[in-house]
Amino acid sequence: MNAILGPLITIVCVLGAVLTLAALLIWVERRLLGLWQDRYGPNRVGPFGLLQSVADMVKIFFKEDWLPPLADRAVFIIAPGIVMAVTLLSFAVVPWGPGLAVADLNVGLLFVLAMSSLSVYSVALGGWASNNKYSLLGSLRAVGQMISYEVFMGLSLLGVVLQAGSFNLSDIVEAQRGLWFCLPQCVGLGVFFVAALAETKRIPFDLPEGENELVAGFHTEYSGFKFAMFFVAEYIGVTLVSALTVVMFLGGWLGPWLHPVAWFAIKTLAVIAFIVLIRASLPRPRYDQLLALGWKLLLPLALANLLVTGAIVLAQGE
Amino acid sequence: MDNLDTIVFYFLAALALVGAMGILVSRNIVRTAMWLLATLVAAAGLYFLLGAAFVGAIQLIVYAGGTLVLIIFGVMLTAKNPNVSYTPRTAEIVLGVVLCVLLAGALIFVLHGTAWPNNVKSVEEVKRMSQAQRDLVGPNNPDATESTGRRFLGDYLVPFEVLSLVLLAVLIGAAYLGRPKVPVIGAPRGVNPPPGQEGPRK
Amino acid sequence: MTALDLQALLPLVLTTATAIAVMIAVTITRRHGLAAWLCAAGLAAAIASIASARECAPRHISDLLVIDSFARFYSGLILAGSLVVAVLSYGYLKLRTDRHEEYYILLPLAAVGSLVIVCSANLLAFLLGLELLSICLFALIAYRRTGRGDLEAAVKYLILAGASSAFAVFGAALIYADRGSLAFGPPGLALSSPVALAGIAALLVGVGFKLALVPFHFWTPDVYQGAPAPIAGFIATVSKGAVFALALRYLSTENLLADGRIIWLLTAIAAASMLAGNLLALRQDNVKRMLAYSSIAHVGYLLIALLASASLGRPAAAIYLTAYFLASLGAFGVVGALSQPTRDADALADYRGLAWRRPFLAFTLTAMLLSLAGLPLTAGFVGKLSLVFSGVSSALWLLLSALVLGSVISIFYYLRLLAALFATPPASEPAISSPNTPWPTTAALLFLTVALLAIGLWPAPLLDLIQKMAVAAW
Repeated sequence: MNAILGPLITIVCVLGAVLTLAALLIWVERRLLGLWQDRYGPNRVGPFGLLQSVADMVKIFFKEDWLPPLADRAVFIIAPGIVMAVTLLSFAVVPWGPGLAVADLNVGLLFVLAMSSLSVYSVALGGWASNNKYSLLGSLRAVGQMISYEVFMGLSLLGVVLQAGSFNLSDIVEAQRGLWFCLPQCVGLGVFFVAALAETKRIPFDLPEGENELVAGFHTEYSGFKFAMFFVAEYIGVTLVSALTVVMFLGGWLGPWLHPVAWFAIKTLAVIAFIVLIRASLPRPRYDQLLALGWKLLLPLALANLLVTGAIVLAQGE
Repeated sequence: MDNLDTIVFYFLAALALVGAMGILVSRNIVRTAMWLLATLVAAAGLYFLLGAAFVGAIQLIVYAGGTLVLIIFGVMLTAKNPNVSYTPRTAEIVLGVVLCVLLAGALIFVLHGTAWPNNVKSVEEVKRMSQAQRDLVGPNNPDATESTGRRFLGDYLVPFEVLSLVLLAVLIGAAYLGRPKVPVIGAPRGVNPPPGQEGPRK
Repeated sequence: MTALDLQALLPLVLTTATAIAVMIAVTITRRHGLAAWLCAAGLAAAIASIASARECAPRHISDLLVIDSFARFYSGLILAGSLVVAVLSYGYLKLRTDRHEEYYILLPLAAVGSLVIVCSANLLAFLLGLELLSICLFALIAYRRTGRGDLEAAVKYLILAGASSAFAVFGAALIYADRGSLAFGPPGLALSSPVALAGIAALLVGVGFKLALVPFHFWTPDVYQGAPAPIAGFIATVSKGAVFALALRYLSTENLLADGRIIWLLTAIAAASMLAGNLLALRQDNVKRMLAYSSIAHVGYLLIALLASASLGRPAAAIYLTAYFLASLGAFGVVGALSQPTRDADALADYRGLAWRRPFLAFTLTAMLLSLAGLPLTAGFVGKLSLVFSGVSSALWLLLSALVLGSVISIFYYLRLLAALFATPPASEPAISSPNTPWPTTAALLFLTVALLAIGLWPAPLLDLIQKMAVAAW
């Protein structure tokens, strides 16, 4: 019985933690933005406005769940579910502490990449099924952006894989015992971080939403609970890429004095805060600038990084 | 656990089949692509079930991305009306069904008439084996990632490089064919498109 | 991977290097002449390297590829064919496209695909080579991008090649399911199991498509008509030659001819191809379509060599294929040389009175057509004669009578074109005012004609070479 119960408890804990965190993040982000932009942010509901997310959720649940009349109903309904499902699935392989992962897959990293490539479907299909030109434009942008940036994301992580000699995320963390990969793989970290921001469609890479041009981009027609799924999935995605950054480059749960899980949480929150800071400070590029940056700068950088890392690893191995 | 494996197998197999049927039946190109996705994901699930996690993950990454491009093509080629559908004629349907039934019948007959070897190891058995034993099993090896990589760049280097040439050819061909037409300077009449029909210029 | 392996693979490596060299040259400067020269020089170097690989043959490379004398002979044929196509293309492309250079990257890559097919000792390698070849051809067929037939041809080829590859891959999967390996041989194993037989049947679809054998030939006329003339020549020769060599190797390694059903099936396909190809060619006024149908018949003839005993069949296949390469490339070369910038010279009217306007081209085309018809003094005669010998020795009477019948029919349509060539020129303006032939095209056509006649008059050296190379056991 323990064989089933153990993983079940882990799954429940991870799900609970991730979902709570995502909800909390909405508040954290708005407060931090307020701080950096010299204003208050939400501070009315509960102490420090902590219950703002709860209030938002209640509001969203009671909104009308509207289906656009000419939409492709089945696809329209399935689309937001895909992104929730695959983003949560990715967390299955993330190690929170030594031995603390739902599934300790040997190809954990590939699994995460695979899930992130599946999450594009949600945006592409959602935008298409809405039968709205703004949604369609948003989703086409999203696909172009995410297909491109997936490439650099995978390539930038391969340097880490080479150094660690494994796709297993726990092994990668263990391999950082002496030195975190953020130093030897600083180029990889830079490329990965930019690509990860683009994958989460966050400002400055939120062209698929582009509210000044496309109303609300791919989720223009969504409301109520389905909109909430897109909304929360974005924050889960932020948590995921932050956790991945920590695992791949910042030594995962490693750290002195504190409990490993605490270290993991602290580092992840720090990365999240950094992502929020970026949102608070950077403007959105044009679409062609975004793609040019990717293919003309990030791709060569990632390839060069891979080449040099490979040469060094080979030389050390000889 | 063997029971659970069996249930999961039948679920995935059913998903793959339903997806394949959906591809045939649905008239909308984006929906077709979605059904294709279901089939491909089910195949990836089967790989995971067989313990070939590397192949499974690669299947997801490569084919999920590929199908997405298919959707984009579908959307862009039917841009005027995203709900454009293609209606085959009755004769075409009948012919297709007859051919499919014949092919399926032949395959079922053949597969049924074959004496399959009985020494296939289950996933659980493989997991219980020692490393030395696992290496012997080869393709069922759950830790096959490293040996796959070594073989790609060792024994199978030449075919691996040929594969990279395939990608190079795709890249060059697509880049050439996708480029906007530029008029040939000094070309005889008729080579260049008439004015106003040149298509977009860079 | 040892030095000896590399030496054996040198033709493959050099051909690949050619493509990459052209690509790098293009990034530095876009010059049509430079790209064409690089391509031709690289292919010539690859041909030369086949001789240097003599020391170490036969050689297995990781159980996927095998470089033996058989593979080297057909590699030489493929590379020579590609070289001629490259040279013919120079004059053809000059007037037609705005960018020529990518062509000289894709052409060597297609040659690499064919080489891999010829050298494969494993279905995996065969499928890889097939994909590489097909993908390059998609782009090459549509290379003019004029939208008048060539895009249609490319899309047709794309869809049908995709479907046929799917069959081939599925067949390979069934064979793998049966024996757990994709390597060719050991002989006789395939016939014992129904799954492997089904797999071989599916493979036959893939191979039959590439060879344009009769139930799978529907793409041929449209694609030949739409493709640029040199590429049509490439499809007719290099692509078919490579797949045919593979079929020859596969059939005899697996000893499939031990099974009566397979013999029966191949006989039916061969006879149908000969008759249907020739009959359909009869009614064609379009020269490219006519050549397409006649190429279907020629591969049908070739199947006789496949079905005959190995000792006579293999040399016959090599001789016939060599003659067919020369004549087809020459015929398509002339078509290309006559073509206007806006359209290929494919109407029968374009050839009326050609002998009085362009005697050299008319003479070349005459030689090529006579060789395709298998008349004496040309290489085609030697080829057909050895085919008949191999057929007689194995008592393939049905096929031989189809061959005779087909040849008789074919003389009609070849003569029809010949008659047009030598007809009195029309009093009015000639139907086609073709540009002057550039010297590389002239040189290539001259080479083809001389080789064609030389082999027809004095076949001994070729026969010796073939006896030494294309027959050796594997």
